[in-house]
Amino acid sequence: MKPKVAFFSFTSCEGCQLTVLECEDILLDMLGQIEIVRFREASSLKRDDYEIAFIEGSASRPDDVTRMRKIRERANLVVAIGACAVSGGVNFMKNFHYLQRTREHVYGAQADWFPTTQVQPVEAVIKVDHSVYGCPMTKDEFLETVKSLLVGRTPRIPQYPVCVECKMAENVCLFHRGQTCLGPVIRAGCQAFCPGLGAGCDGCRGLAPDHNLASLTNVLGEYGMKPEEVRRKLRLFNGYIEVQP
Amino acid sequence: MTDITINVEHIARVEGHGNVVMSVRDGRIKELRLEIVESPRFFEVMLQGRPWHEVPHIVARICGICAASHTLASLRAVEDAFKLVPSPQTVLLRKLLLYGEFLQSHLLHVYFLVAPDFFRVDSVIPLASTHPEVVKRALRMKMLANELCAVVGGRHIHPVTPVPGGFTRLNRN
Amino acid sequence: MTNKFLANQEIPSFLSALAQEYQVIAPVRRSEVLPDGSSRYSFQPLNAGPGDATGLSAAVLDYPIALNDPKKFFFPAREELLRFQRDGSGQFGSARDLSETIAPPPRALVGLHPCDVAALEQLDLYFGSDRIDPYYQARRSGRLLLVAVSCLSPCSEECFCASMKTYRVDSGYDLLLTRLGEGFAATAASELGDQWLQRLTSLAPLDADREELLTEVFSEIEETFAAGVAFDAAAVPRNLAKGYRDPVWREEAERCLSCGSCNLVCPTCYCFDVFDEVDIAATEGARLRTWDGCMLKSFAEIAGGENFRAAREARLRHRINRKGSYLHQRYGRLFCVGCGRCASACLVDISPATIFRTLEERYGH
Ligand code: SF4
Ligand code: SF4
Ligand code: SF4
Ligand code: SF4
Ligand code: SF4
Repeated sequence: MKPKVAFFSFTSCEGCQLTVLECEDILLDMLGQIEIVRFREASSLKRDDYEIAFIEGSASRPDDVTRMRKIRERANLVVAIGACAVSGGVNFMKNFHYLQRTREHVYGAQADWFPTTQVQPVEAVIKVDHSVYGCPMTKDEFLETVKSLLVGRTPRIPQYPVCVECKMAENVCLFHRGQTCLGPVIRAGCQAFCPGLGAGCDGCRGLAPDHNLASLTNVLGEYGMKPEEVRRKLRLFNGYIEVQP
Repeated sequence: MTDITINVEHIARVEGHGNVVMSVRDGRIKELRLEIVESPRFFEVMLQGRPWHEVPHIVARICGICAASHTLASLRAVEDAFKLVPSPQTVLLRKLLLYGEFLQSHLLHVYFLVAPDFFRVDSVIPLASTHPEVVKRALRMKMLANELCAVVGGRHIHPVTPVPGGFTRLNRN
Repeated sequence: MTNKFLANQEIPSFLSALAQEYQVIAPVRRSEVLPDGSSRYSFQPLNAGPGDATGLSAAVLDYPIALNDPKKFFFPAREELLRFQRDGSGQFGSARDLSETIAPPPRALVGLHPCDVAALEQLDLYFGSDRIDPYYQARRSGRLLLVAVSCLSPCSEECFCASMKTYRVDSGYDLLLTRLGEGFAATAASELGDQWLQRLTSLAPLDADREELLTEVFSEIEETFAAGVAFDAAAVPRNLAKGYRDPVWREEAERCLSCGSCNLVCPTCYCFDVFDEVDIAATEGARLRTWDGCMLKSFAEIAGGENFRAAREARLRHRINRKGSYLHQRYGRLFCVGCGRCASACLVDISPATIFRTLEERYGH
C-alpha cells in the first residue's frame, strides 16, 4: 500500500513546494511510490486521510496554530520542509519588530484587515518528526527523507558543518578571499552550495548541532564583523535560536 | 426562485492563496468575491535595518516561483540607490535568468496547473499515465528551464550568484 | 639513471608526450590572487584521456601547494562500493562488488610535491599492508607515472615539512623535476622514469655545469629547510604519550570550530563513513563511502547516541595522537607529512606543529 501523503503550506514563499515539482527527473518515479491526497499548489484533491504530512511555512496567522494541530492529529508523521517550517526562516525577522507598528507600517489604516501574529516555526506549535533543511529545502535531502520514510529508516541528515562538503569540493575558502562565511557553524547537506558559487554561507540550513558560534564570532571579528553584526547576520535565517527553548 | 452559492475555499493549482465566493439568484450573479487569503509577510518591515547586500536574498523569498524576478527587481533598486550602472554583460545575463524563469513559470502553469482542468482530472498525476509522453516532455522542458536559471543564477528558486554590480561567479562551462 | 634538462619552452611538448599515453593530472589555478598574495591550486585531470592533448596548458608546475593532495584520485571523496538489487523473493539479494569494475585510464600525476609523495606512501601502507583495500588498490595499481617537483623553500607559513623531514624524498615517484633557472633538471627515480627520459630525445642531457648547479640546489634546499626545524619529529610519539593529560588539548580545542576542515584536507587522513542508498522504488541500491573526519562530533557516535569523544578536547587529542603516535605504533612512522594544509585551512590557527612544539617544550627533556 502506498503511503498517503499531504503537503501543507503556511506562511512562506511556496518555494519548498515548488522544489518538490522541480524534482523533475524523479518526480514520476516518486509519484509511483506515494499517494498524494493533498497538495494545493499542484492538485485539487483535498482529502484528509493522510499518513505523512509535509509542512511548508511558519505559523503567523491566528488560525495557523489550530490548522497545524489538526494536521498533527491526523498524520502519523509530520515533516517540516524548509527553513520557514523548521525555524521560521526569513519570516522570523518580523519578530524583531513591534507587531502593531509592523502592521501599520505596511497596511496603514487597513492593518486590521490582515490579521497576523508572531512567527512560529512548526516545532513551536506541534511535534515534528523529521526536518528537511534549507531555504529552499535541499532537494536531495527531501528525496532522502521520502526514501527513508518509505523503507522505514531514519533519514541520513548531516550533523557536521558546511565546511566538510566545501573542503570535499575543494572550494577556495571565502575567508581566504578576505570575505566571510557562516559555513563553520551551519549544518551541511547543501554540498556547500553558496561557497561553491563564490558566495558566503548565510546559514539557511540552520546551526549545526555541535557548532562553536562563540569561536566563529571571534574569527568574524578579525574580519571586521562586530558581534552584533554576527547576530544580525544569523537573524537572516536563524533568529529563532535567540528564543529557542 | 433558485439560489446557488459557490464557495471555493482555497483555489487549487494556483500560486498564492485565494478563495472564490459566488452567490447566484435566478441566474444572475448577486455577489462575486475573490478573497486573497495569502498570509501577509511584512517584508517592508523585515528589510529595515538589514545591510543593502542582503536585500536581493531577502526579497527573493517573497515568492519561490518568481524568485528570480524579485531578485532582479531589487538588484535594480539597490544599484539605483548607489547610482551604479551594471555592465552590458551583466544585463544580458540577468535577462537570460529572467527568461529562464519565464519558461519555467509558463511550463508550470500550462502543464501542471491548467492542463488538469481541461482533462477533468485533479492534477498532472493521472495525466502521467494517460499522456505519459507529453508529461515527460513537459518535465524535460521544465528541467531545461531550471538549468538555464541555474547556469546564470546558481539555482532557480532563490538565486545565489546575482549581486548588486554583477555576479559572485560566472559559469564558464 | 638518466638526467636531462627540461627547458621551460619544452614543457608543453613534454606534457604532450605524456598525454599520448596517460591522462595527465597536474595543478591548475583555482583562484585569483588572494589577499595573502598567493593563489590557490588544485590537482585536476587536464586531458580527456590518453591520446588527447587538449587542456595541457593549464598545468602549473611552480606553485606553492595544492588545496587537496592527489589522494582523491585513489580514494575519492565519495564512491560506490557495492550495488545490490531485490531478488525474486523481494529481498535484497546478492551484492556486486564494484572494485572489479574500477578501471581508471593510465594516469600521469605531474607536480607532486615531496610531501605529497610521502603522504601517498603512507596511504599505501594503510590501504595495502595489514589490510588490503580493493578500491584503493584498483586505482593505485593501475598504470601510473608520478612526476614530482622539488620544493626549494617552505610553501607556506603553516607547513612544517622541515621538521617532519618530508621536504625531500628519494623514492616513491618516477621522475623528479627541480627548478634550475630557465628550466627543470629532470632526474629519474625509477625504471619507468628512466625509460621516459630516454624516450624524450628532444631533451638535452644535463650537462656538467647543470649537474653541479643541481647539487648546489639540493644542498641549498637542505640548508633552507634545516633552518626551519621547529621540533624534533623523532620525539613526537614519546612527547605525545607524556602529554596525554596536558592542558594544551583544552587550550587549543576551546576555539576549535569542529568544522572538520583539517581532516578533509589532510593527505594522510583516510577515515570514511559507509552507508547505503536505495532508489525511490527501493528495488536497487548501492553501498557508498565518503570521507569522514575524527574532529566531527558524529564521527565517534555509535548506536544509541553514545559518543566516545563527545568533547572537542578529546577529538583534537585523538587526531593529533593519530598522526604522531597511534599509527607510529602500528606502522613505525609518523602519519603526518607536515604539509600544513590542516593549519592553513583552520580558521582558528590550530596546527599540529604548535602542539608538537609545545609538548616538546613541556616534556622534551
Ligand atoms: S524555506 Fe525558503 S523556499 Fe521554503 S517556503 Fe520558506 S522562504 Fe520559501
Ligand atoms: S568557504 Fe565557508 S564553508 Fe567553505 S571552508 Fe570556508 S568557512 Fe567553511
Ligand atoms: S551554503 Fe549556507 S546559505 Fe547556502 S545553501 Fe548551504 S546552508 Fe544555505
Ligand atoms: S596533519 Fe596537517 S600537516 Fe600533517 S599531513 Fe595532515 S594536513 Fe598535512
Ligand atoms: S580545522 Fe581547526 S577549527 Fe576546524 S576542526 Fe580542525 S582544528 Fe578545529
